This record gives sequence, C-alpha cells and structure tokens, in this order.
Amino acid sequence: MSGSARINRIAKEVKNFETKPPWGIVCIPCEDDTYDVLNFSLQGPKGSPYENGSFKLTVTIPEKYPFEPPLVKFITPVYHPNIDKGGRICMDMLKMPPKGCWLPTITLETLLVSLQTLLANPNPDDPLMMDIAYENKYNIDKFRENARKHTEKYAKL
Amino acid sequence: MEELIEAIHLTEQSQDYTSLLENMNTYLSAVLESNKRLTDSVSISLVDKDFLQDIKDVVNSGAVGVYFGQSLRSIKVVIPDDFGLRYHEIFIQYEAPKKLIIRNVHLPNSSKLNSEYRSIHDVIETCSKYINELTRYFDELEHIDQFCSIMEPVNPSFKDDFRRIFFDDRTWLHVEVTPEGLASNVHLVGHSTYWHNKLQSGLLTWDHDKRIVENIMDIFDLGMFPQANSQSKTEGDVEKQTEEPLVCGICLCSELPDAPGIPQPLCQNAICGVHYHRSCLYQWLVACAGSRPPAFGVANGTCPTCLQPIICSEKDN
Repeated sequence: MSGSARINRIAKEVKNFETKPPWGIVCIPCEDDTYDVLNFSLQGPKGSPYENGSFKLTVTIPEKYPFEPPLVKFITPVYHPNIDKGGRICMDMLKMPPKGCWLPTITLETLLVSLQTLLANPNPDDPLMMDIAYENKYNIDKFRENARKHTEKYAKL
Repeated sequence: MEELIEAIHLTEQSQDYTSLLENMNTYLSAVLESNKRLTDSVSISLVDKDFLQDIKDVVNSGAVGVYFGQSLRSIKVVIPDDFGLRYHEIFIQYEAPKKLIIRNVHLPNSSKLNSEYRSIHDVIETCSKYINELTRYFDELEHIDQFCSIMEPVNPSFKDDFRRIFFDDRTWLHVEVTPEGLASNVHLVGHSTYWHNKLQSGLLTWDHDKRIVENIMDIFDLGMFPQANSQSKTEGDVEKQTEEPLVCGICLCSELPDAPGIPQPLCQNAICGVHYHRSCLYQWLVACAGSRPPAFGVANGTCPTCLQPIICSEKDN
C-alpha cells in the first residue's frame, strides 16, 4: 500500500475517534499531519484498580501499517503484570503472526479497547513483570491495593 | 526622424505650419506602415498556418464538432459514427507543426491510436475508420450496461473493454468484449458453487451469433439480471449517495490511488461478508509469510476477518 493509502486509513481512524469515541479513550491530536506518532489518553476501566486513573499512551504507526502492528507504549507508569517499567506492553495483538495475532482488520479503536480490557484482566501467565504477576496470582488483594495506590500516585485524573 | 527634425527647423524659419503638419503626417504613416510589416512578419513565424488552415477545413466541413481546451494546443473533436447513434470525443494535443497526438479517447486501446498525426484531418480519418470497425463492440457493451448491474469499472465507458456484472453479494461475472464484439475471458469473481456449476456446464454452449447478454441469461438461467442494492447507481439520489460505499477491510477505503479496482468478495467463507482489495489482501498474506513472495504469485493464509483459509493471487484473473 502506498503512503497515501496508509495516511488515508489513519486519517479515517483518527476522525472516527472524534466523531464516535469509545468510552474513556481520547485521541490527542498532534500538530503535524503525517500521523507517524499519535497520542492517546486512556481511562482505567470501571471496577478495576485503575478505575480513577488516566493513562497517557503513544502509538507509533510503522511505515507498513496496517500490514504491521502499531507500536503502543504507556507514558504514564502502570502497575500491571503485562506492562513493564518502560511502558512496553505484552499483548498478542501487538505482534505479527505467527508469534502474535495482529491482523490488518484490527483498528486503533479495537486495539485500545482491548488494551483497556487487558488493564482490567491481567494475564499473569505471560508476564513481563515477574513479581507483579506472582502477586496478582497468589495475593490478589495486595495486588489490587498496590495497583490502586500506584494509579493514585502517577495517573490521578 | 532626421527629416522630421529638419522640417521643424525649416518651419521655425519660415513659419509655415501647414507644410510641417503635412511632413509629420507622411512621417507617421510611414512609421505605422513599417510597424504593420513588423507584426506581420512576427505572426508568420509564430503561427502554424497549415494547422490553422487544417482547423478551418475541418470546421467548414461541418461533419465533426471542434472545441478548444485551455489553450489552442488542446483540441477536442466530436465524431459521430456512421448512423449518428453515438458521439465519440477525441482529445488531441498539438505538439509541434505536423505533429499531433491523441491524448485521450473513450475507445479501447489500440496501436492504431498511438501514432503521431500530421493533421487533424488524419486523426479524424483514422478514428472514424476505427469507430466504424467497432460498431458491434459498442452495441454489446451498451447492451450489457443497459441490462446488468456493473460493479466494475466504476464509471463504465467504451475505453474499458471489460465488465464485471453483479450476480449476488459475493459473486460477479467478468466478461471481456473483443473489438469484434465477441465475449472473451468469461469467468466468475468470487466463489459460488451454484454459479460456478452453471458456468461450467453452459460455457460450451456459448453461441457467438447471439448477443452476450442473451448468452449469459441462457447459461445462468436468468429471467432478469440481479440488481446491486448496496451501491447506488442513480445520480441525484441524496439519501443513497450518503450511504457508505463498499470499503476494503484492510485499508478501509473504497478506491486506492495507485491500485486499480474496488474491494472484491475474495473470502470463500459464505458467512464472511468482508471485501478486500486484491492488492491489500495479497500484501497482507505475503507479510504474514515473512515477506517472501509466494510461488506462482498465489499467496495463501487465513482471512484477516474470519480466519478461514484464503488464497489470493497477485494479479487479477
């Protein structure tokens, strides 16, 4: 796909965020029109320890998008088994097949909604942060308490 | 000039104003005369007189319409065919004296049209001959356009020698029309056992003496052609116009700037209703296989929507 088709698709997706934004996800527009890097803010899902937090994310769109997944990173620190201190996320959807399950039919919207779901439902069996995963698996109350405090400290609305 | 100055001096001495005026008059007419000669010589070298004469002749003959575009170098000629049924527009570009090329014409591509011409008259002669050879071609295409829902090309014209006819949401019929007005390369786009079986059993009974539309109706047992409702073909219907056109599941667009064609029902899974551009799907299947180009230009993998097996060739057909 040519560069113009790539930009067409991203422009469409960004416009979609403005016209019918999914719950708790805001696309913060960048100055330039190249759409190489997009900024988002993501609200923590209700009923999770991240409930009152607002997390900042950057989404880097690769040259070959949508034939390659975008690069998603948390800027706000998150206390989560699948998100490391640098904000990197371990999620199947963000990797190319056969390792991952990225598909060109996945849009930024589906991706970010899935990320919200990941916040609410950590996957401690495929962790990036061993200690947090262990805590989540064997001491869920303490995990929830820590995640809530961490959110309060770094991601308060 | 010197004569004039001398005359003025003489007048100052003799106080004879009448002769001064006479002198000035002769002088100015001489200047005007020489200027006229100057402009004449310029225009002769800039304007291609043969070309002008050519245009005059063509206009005076009255058989064809001649129009000019943004400059006098782009010319549109409208030629009626033998029976005056159709009018064909030919866009001509004036490149240099006795060097004209056809820039655009709504006729199927032919080597006949790619040469250089010496005059507009030559262009008209060649095109008229070609147009009259194509009478059956025009008839068949018009007949198809009249009876069938055309999915591709988006704006069918005589330039496109193929039509993709809507059968159902997942199946189109591809027909190419030869300059002689015969069908060729008839095949289905999309997968449907029902239509496929009919085509297989009926193709051998194709009768070139009958019209293409009649043949299709016979082979597929059609009383009338199915109409595509998803895409509005009627102009001026505001409500239908706002309806989303069919978009590709990968690039989310309907038309790509650099790849021909519109999204097609490429997935064989009957429940999966997602269309893709052939180029988009092919690119994805190749990317999945580690960017190695597949053997014979046919990539396989899974449909990015329903995850059922799918194959996609690089090129159409």
